[in-house]
Amino acid sequence: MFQPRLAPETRNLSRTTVVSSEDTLLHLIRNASTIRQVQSFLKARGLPSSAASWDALIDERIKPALREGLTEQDLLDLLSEAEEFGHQHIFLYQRRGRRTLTLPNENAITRWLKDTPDEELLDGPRLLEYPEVPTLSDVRLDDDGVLSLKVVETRTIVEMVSEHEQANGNFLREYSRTPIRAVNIVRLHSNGLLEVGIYSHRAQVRRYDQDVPAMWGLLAGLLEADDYAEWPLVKAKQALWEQRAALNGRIRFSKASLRDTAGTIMDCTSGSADSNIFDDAAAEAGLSTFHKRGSAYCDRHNLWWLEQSDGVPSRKVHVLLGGAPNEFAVTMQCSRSDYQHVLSELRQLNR
Amino acid sequence: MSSVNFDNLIDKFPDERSAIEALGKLVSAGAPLELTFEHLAARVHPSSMEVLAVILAELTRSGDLSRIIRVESRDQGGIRDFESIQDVPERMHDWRTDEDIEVTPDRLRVIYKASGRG
Repeated sequence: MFQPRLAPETRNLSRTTVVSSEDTLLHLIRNASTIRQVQSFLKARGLPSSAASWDALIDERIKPALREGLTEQDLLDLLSEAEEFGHQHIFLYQRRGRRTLTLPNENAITRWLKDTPDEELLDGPRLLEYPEVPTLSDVRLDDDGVLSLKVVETRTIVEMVSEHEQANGNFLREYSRTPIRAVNIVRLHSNGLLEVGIYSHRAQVRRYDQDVPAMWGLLAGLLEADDYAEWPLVKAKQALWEQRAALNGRIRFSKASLRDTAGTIMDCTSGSADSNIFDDAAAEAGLSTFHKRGSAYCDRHNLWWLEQSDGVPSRKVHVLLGGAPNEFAVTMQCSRSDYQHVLSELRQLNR
Repeated sequence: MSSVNFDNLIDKFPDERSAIEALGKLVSAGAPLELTFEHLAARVHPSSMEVLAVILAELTRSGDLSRIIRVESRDQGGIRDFESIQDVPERMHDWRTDEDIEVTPDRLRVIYKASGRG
């Protein structure tokens, strides 16, 4: 459960014990990333990377590398790469008052954290697995000028384990509770674009915009909601529709939802996971007619950015454009560069 | 695709001659096809749905058609295709809605496919 908006001095009143051991960091990396991702990370550093299992990767590749030059910071960078991109619903905002644009700098961050329970973040991130309350775990200015703030929370998935009939005709159900580590990330760009990313609630249908106020509460004093206006993706949704033919081969449309001026909604969904609805001539014709004759607009998209031969993106990235007007989701884990590519294209389409 | 298969089927199920001939035309039309059982029935108008099911099973065995089990999203559209019901997991991630789901029978769709090579 998120806490209500708190004054800085009362932020993060309690949390699970921070453990910063090498094993904990490796455990978090193991849960957040894939073997392939870690192997790419090692290869990029000229380190041996072949391994048939996670245990082999950790014991025979990573741990020896730590004794031969690989640093804890390198692993923290890997953890950031693994858990901060993908599996999120992202809300976009733009800083108000461009002419007087002042973004938090290092001094502002220091003032915000100093003399608070989060002051230790000035020295580096916390490694939190299952904090009792949503907790700030990292505040940093990246080399590209992006201010990143990471909030880790524990969610609980409830699943039915068994059902037992009772002699009186009633029945009992037993449920398990499984903790899930959720990573929410906020990124402020030097041009005033703000991303508020909420970790996917995979176990339930949910409106993600309900989680955003609590994030503002945790960031109060450094970032204020009143200073940022929602940046709706209306133009991007229309541009994707208008450019759908030109985007063939780069973007695959799994679903499009159009609404016309009579209030009628036309949804078109691909049958198989690998199909593009606009490769179906009948679907294309139907949607085009509805769009033109009904003065329709495109309300939602379900898209895949397809991997390209130049490696940008390096793998296909699944994106949902729907929910709140300023919301998009990257539902699967992806690399930093692939996420940045998708965000960049959305920004271009949204101009 | 062998016309012998369809001729044999007509011999076995003479009451469904017109449906089998319609199926043959559908399969040999040249375009790839992907149809549910209901869609096929709507196209070929069998006199018996049960017999149509048997006919489709025979065409699947002969390779004239292929059959897949598609797990569908509550938001419509397939999440993933499987070759048999035994391959379908109890739970999976629905990428169309970004939620983990229990795969219940109402989410399963049997799809018949023709390659369209005639």
